[in-house]
Amino acid sequence: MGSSAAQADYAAFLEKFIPNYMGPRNIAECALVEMEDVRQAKAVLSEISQFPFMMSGMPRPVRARPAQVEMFDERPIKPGRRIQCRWLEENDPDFEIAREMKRLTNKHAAEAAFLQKKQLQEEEKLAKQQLDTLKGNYKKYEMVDSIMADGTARRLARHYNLRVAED
Amino acid sequence: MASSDDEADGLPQWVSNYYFEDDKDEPISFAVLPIQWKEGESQYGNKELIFLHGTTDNGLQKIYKHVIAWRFDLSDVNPQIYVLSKENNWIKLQKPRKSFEDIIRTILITVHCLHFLKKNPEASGKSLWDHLSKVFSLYEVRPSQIDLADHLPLLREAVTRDDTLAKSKFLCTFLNESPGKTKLCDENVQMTAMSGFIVDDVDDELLDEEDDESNEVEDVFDSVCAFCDNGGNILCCDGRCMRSFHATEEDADTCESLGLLQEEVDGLPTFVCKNCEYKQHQCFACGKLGSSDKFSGAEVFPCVNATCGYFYHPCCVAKLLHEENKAAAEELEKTIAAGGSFTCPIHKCCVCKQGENKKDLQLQLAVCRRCPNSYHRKCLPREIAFEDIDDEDIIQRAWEGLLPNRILIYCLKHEIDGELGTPVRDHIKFPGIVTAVEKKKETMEETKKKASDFVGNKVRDFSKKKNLAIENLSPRRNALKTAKQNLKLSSSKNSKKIVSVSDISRKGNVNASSRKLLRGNARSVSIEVDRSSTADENKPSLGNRLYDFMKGSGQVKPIKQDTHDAKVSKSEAVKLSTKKLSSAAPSLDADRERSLLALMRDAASSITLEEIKEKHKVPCGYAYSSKYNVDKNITLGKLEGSMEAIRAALGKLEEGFSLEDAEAVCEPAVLKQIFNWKQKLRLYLAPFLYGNRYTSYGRHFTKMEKLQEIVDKLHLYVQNGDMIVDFCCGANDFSVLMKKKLEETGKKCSFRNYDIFQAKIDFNFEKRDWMTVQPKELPTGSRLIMGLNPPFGVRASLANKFIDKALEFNPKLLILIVPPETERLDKKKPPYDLVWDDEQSLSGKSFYLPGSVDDNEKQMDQWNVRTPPLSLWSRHDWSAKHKIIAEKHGHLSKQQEELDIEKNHPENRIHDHPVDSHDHCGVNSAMIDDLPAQTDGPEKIRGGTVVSKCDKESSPRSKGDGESLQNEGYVKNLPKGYSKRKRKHDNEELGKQNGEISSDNKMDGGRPRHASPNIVDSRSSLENSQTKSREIPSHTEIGENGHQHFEPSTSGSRLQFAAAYGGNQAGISDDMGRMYYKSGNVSYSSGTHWQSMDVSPGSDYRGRNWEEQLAGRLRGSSDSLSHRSYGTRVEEMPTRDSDIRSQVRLYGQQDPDLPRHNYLAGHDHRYSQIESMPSTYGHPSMAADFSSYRMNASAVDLSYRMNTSAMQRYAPRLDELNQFARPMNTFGFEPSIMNVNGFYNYPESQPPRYQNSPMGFVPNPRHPYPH
Repeated sequence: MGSSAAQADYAAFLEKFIPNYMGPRNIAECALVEMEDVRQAKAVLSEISQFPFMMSGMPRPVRARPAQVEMFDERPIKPGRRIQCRWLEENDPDFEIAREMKRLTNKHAAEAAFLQKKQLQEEEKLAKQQLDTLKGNYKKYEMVDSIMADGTARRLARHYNLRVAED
Repeated sequence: MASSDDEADGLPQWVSNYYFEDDKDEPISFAVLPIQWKEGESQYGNKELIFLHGTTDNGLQKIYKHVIAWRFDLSDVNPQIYVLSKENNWIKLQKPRKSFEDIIRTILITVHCLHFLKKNPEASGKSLWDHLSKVFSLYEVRPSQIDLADHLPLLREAVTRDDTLAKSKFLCTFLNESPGKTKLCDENVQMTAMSGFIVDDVDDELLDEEDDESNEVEDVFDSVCAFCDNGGNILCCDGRCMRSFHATEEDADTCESLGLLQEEVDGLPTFVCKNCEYKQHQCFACGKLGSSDKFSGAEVFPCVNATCGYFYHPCCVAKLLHEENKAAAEELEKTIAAGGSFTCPIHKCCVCKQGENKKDLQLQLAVCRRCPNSYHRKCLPREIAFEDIDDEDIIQRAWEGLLPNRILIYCLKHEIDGELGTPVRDHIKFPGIVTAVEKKKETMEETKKKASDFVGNKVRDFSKKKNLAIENLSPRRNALKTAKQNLKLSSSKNSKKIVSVSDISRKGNVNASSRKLLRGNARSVSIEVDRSSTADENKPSLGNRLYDFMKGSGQVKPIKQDTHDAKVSKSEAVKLSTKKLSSAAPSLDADRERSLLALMRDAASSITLEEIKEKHKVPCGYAYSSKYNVDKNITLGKLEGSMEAIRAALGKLEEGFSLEDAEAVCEPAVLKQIFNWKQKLRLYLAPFLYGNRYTSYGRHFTKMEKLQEIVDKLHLYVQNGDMIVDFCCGANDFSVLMKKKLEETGKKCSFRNYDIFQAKIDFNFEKRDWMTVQPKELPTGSRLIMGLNPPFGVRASLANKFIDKALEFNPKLLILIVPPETERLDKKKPPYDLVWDDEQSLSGKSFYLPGSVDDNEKQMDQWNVRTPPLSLWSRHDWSAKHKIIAEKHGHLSKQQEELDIEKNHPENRIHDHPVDSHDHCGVNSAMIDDLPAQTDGPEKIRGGTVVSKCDKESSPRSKGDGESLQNEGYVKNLPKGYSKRKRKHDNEELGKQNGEISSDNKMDGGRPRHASPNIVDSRSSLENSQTKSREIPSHTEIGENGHQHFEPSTSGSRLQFAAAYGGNQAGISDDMGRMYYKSGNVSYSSGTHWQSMDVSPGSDYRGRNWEEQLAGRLRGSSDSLSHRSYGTRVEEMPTRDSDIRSQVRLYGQQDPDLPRHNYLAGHDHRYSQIESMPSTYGHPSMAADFSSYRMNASAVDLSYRMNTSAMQRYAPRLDELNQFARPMNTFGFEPSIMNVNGFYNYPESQPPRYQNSPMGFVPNPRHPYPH
């Protein structure tokens, strides 16, 4: 526990956040964190992946992976690659292809949004479940505690000649 | 049988703590060895190499032998087992190593069984098992036939070779039949029952240290399936019914079970049965459902017994309870209906009407599982037998070992179904799904064909779990399984379709899926249908139906192009969907959504809990704890039931019912269980309950400056070429600091640092679990210096582990920051010597939480709730050397003191730390601790500082290093602790003083342990022994007879004490007065002591040891009165003790009256300026209370208590006033007395005291203080 926090502490720089283009919602974002050297970076990666859970099985809200060029939108373009734009007429042979691609992109976006929604639901469900468990257990604890606190249990224990600890 | 007595002397005759290993170092049972039936008979054909490990010679000698055969000897009182070593020497096996017990359990049981049967050939199975359970009572699992079954060949052989055994009825029958069904399940039941309660953390809320047996928590709740009354893998209802069920059909062969899927069970956080969900429970008498909802007019009411869980109609149970007396029954019915509690008839034997006693075998109850009817074991009719008796037409109706300490029976009212072995299982009614149950029954009888029709008809209902009939379930499961298998084999596209087939059955959305299936590809459709049908022979109708449906709706055109597969070639896609393109909206159709969901489900199901556990191996020490049990075993229902029962039981007792009546409601085991549960829950919830203070489990690093302090001290002990090992290095600062320091002083050392997390600084760091480091990886022990701040764990369990591991390396020095309750190293084998320890330096904010920042982005510090002492331990052969170093550099005492003064001075005033101290130090010591503070300037300051510091700290404080500083440390803690307790006292009733005190004692109990070493160190040998003797009682102490406990060390001296004062007491005749007086003196004298010594025996003043202490001092007889001369520094004065003793005496004689009475007077008149006086007295008197309690427990009076508590309450304030005390001091009393009183110069302390204890003191104003 606490390792991610420890890691954050060790991090040399928090370089910048990478916007999540999945949507405007309040969802996870990536951040570029630069360590002092490769060894440290590797250590962070392995620690975080090794301990994915926190107390009570809560998923650790941080994951780590090595940075790649593709993650950054301001990366320089590949040498020799140029993007060209042109208007396609309806009778253009490429028209349908382009249209299909457009549709596909839309579809993918919709699918991603759907998955995203589901994912958030799942997360919420898990959080709720964990909260419920915690609450349930806390309720139990309070219940036991109440019987201890008002002395009932202790008095009965005395009647029974049970020895119990004062806590 | 001493076969080899004349063998060479060197050969061991017996071995204990043994275990066997094969050549791969795997533990193995000796039963695999060839057995030797007769002397000299040899058949050593065994090729396996088996080695015996163990100790002999009272554990002094280790054994490692190659063994080749074994034999047993039944002729003795206890069966003896021998193994033959390679040297042809028979070695008797004594006690196995604990961890090995399970491996040889079955063979031990077998041998014991043979032994018992040889002695009692006539014995029945029952008595055998009873005997064996007794013998193996320490094992978690009761012996059962299944254990014998493992060694059938051995038994057979034994029977043929031994005539007596051949006569045994039990063995013969046993060998001729294989163990029956229920018996086989025994083990499972018990496994589940027990495993839930294996306490892997040492949480002993119940102080059962002496009797370990009772420490083993038994399950008091039964854990058999409510349907089939059998054990196995069961699911516990969270509700009030407290029943358990087989959740899935696989869990038990003949049980109809709840019909859930394993996945469903895993997904359930808590399971609540339908009865509890709808609050509709069956009356156990009449079997009818009724509302049990107390808030909306309940019809049935639960039995109040904590473990019962049965509900009854008031009329039904009243009739049963008062069969003859109709009027009484009516009366009872009314009370029950009005909410009165009742104990149902099942808790009394129906023959003799007596209650049960689970501890007495004969008085255990045999309870019917179908109706409220039970018998004592002794009252059990013959017809209810444990085994079938064919001649008399008796079938088995009773089973042992299924219910905890009870016998499970079906009474004679119920006809046993021949096939099931139980009565017909129609006894459970769930509300709301009655029809489903009926259907279940129907389908049971119906033919397969009909069942399959049913499947077809009910497709839509599949998603409703409650309507699931078992028959329907299995096909569905099969379908799912096959679908999954296919998934792996077939292309992704196909597999998705198959999944969707299973979707169909789940969602029942036939239309949608048919469309999909029709997606223009007849072949794939047919394949799919084929698959689903072939995959599931039980369900032909579904497949056919689908197929028909498809044919029928063959005209339906593909509406949607499936483009989810990126591999679908574009051109194809374009062609197929040209016309539809315009309609492609960003929103997804149901079809697509479903396949996405299927994808998600797929991904989810590919992750299993087992895999995760496997993959993320936690370092040992953090292993999976009892958390799971908290969730699953402590059910709300059980808890509610227990709560009610406890209250009811207490109510009964208070109404004057007998203990037995109360126990019928709530047996002691339940109460015990509750205490245990609380402990468990507390542990589990610790992170949430304690928040910031929750220190032990998370990581906390020692702060740099503290490390530097440690380094400054430690480096002196380091020699050139040593290796310094930090076994839990955290940020790894320690080594770096150490290295720097050592380089400065010209020493060259190597370093090794371990931790399970990557350290910030990787100087000589190795990311590794300390437990996995092998001794050969590090240099020899005499060059090793190890230690520092390991994780603590619950009750220092982790710290102990780390230390034990470290001891494997035999380091010459161990430096440790561990909680005080850690097992001391001088108790280890071999013992280490304490060079010094320091309970001060790490108090307060000595640790930080790595990586955690607060609101202001500042590193979060951590308050110690209790200061873990820093200690330096030396291997025995080095300790002399190390002690010399310690002495030379003043580590033993002074240095620390000064350090602390410097350090803590600034904090002087901060008395009210947010964190409460939970100290239980003796009040007396607290009071007295103040005294020295006043003697002179610097000391006063010290007093203040420490006060503020120690606030955080706990027991370790009792150290007696000969420093006033340390003693003063208690000042703050104590009062707080006490005032807290005081509140508690108030809550309780008056008559409980003894109890209270006992609790105090108990609380103090732990401390001496920590204290003693220091005392030992810093004091003369004479005292040394004194301390020790004191220590002993403290360990065993149990409050009520504290008096007696002290006896050993004090009685003689106490007499003396009494005598000394006897003469002076003429004026005070009554008992109380005398006591008071006496105690007054006591405290007084001790005050004196303090002041004069300024000093070390801090521990002496722990409340508990008060009179001992005093006595000890009184014992001395030297009369020199020179206490003044001991003003400040003490360590150098070995003789001080005796002097002080004399002083004490002197005081006693000088001011005989002093004790109680003068306060008011003093305050008002003569001492008006010196208000300190009264308060001074206040303290002693209060201290006196304590001592007097213990000295004359019987004479204790309420007023004392009042005083005590009042004092306690105000004690902290007094302390805060410390600073003001100094000026008061100048009031020029006679030096000696002056000082004594001066300490207590807290003007404000007095009034409160009087207010609170009117009865104690006000009435007795006497002449003023004699001085």
